[in-house]
Amino acid sequence: MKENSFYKGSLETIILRLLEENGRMYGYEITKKVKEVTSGGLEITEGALYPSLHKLESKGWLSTETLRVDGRRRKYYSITPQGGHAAKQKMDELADYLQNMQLLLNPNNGPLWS
Amino acid sequence: MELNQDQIEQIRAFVKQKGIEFYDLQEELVDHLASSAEERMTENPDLTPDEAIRITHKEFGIFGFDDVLVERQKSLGNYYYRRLWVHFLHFWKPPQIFMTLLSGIGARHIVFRYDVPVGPSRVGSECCSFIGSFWSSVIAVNAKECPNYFLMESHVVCRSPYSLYRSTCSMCSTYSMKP
Repeated sequence: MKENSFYKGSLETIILRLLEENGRMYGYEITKKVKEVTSGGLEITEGALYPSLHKLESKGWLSTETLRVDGRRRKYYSITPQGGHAAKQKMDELADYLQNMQLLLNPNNGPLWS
Repeated sequence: MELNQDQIEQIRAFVKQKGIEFYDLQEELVDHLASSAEERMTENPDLTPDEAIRITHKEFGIFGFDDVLVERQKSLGNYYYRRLWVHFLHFWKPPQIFMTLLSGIGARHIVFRYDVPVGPSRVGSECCSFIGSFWSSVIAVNAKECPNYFLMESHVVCRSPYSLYRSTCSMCSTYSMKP
C-alpha cells in the first residue's frame, strides 16, 4: 500500500533539495521529477505542492521568474542563498528524524544507511 | 501533443471560473493544467483536452484550487506584513530620524518665519531648512532612477547617497533597500 501522506511534513525539504540539485524548475516539473526519481513510489499532489512553493517564496527561500513558453506563462522557481542555508538545516533535521525512526522501528539493526 | 492557443484560452476560462482571480496564480495553474493535459493526451491520444484537464483538476484534491488559493492569500499577507515591519524598523535609524527632525524644524520655520528674530536661532533654522530641502531633493532625484520607485516606497530613503543602509534592490538591481 502506498502511503503518500508521510511526505507532507518533508515536502519543503524535498522541494528545496530538488531545486538545489536541478537549478530552476516549474511546478509541474517538480511533481514529475519526484515521480521519476522514486519510480512512481511517491506522488506529490498539486494541492500540497503549490501552497508549499508559495510559502517558501514568501519566506524568501525561493525566487521566481516568469517566461513565455508555448503561448503561456511559465513560472520558474529557484533557490536563494537564504534557501540554501535552510535546505541544509532541513536536510540535517530530516536525517536525524529518519535515524530516530529507524531506531524506534528496528532497534536491533541500527541505521540502514551508515 | 501540444495544445493550441484556443485550448489554452479554454483552460484559462476554466481556472477563472473556479474563482482564481490572482493573475500570477491563474497563469501558474493554466501552465500546470496545460502541461499535464499535453502529457496525458500524448500517452492516451483518445483523450479530449477537456477530459484531460478535468482529470488533472481532480488531482488537486476534493477542495480543488481552494487550498492553493487560501495559501496564496496567506503567503501574500505574510509577505506584506514582513515588508511593513522591515520598513518600520528601517525608519528608526539615524538618517531617517535626522531627516524627519530637519523637515519638522524646516516646516516650523516656514510657518513661523516672521516670528523668529534675526540672530542665532534664525540662522540655525535657516540652515536646518536648507539641509532638509537639499537632502529631500537628492533623495527624490535618486528615487526616480528606479523604475519601480512607486512600488518600493523605501527606495526614497534608502537610495539616498547619504544613506548608510544601501543594498541591492531585488526589483531593479540597483542600490536600494532589500525587502
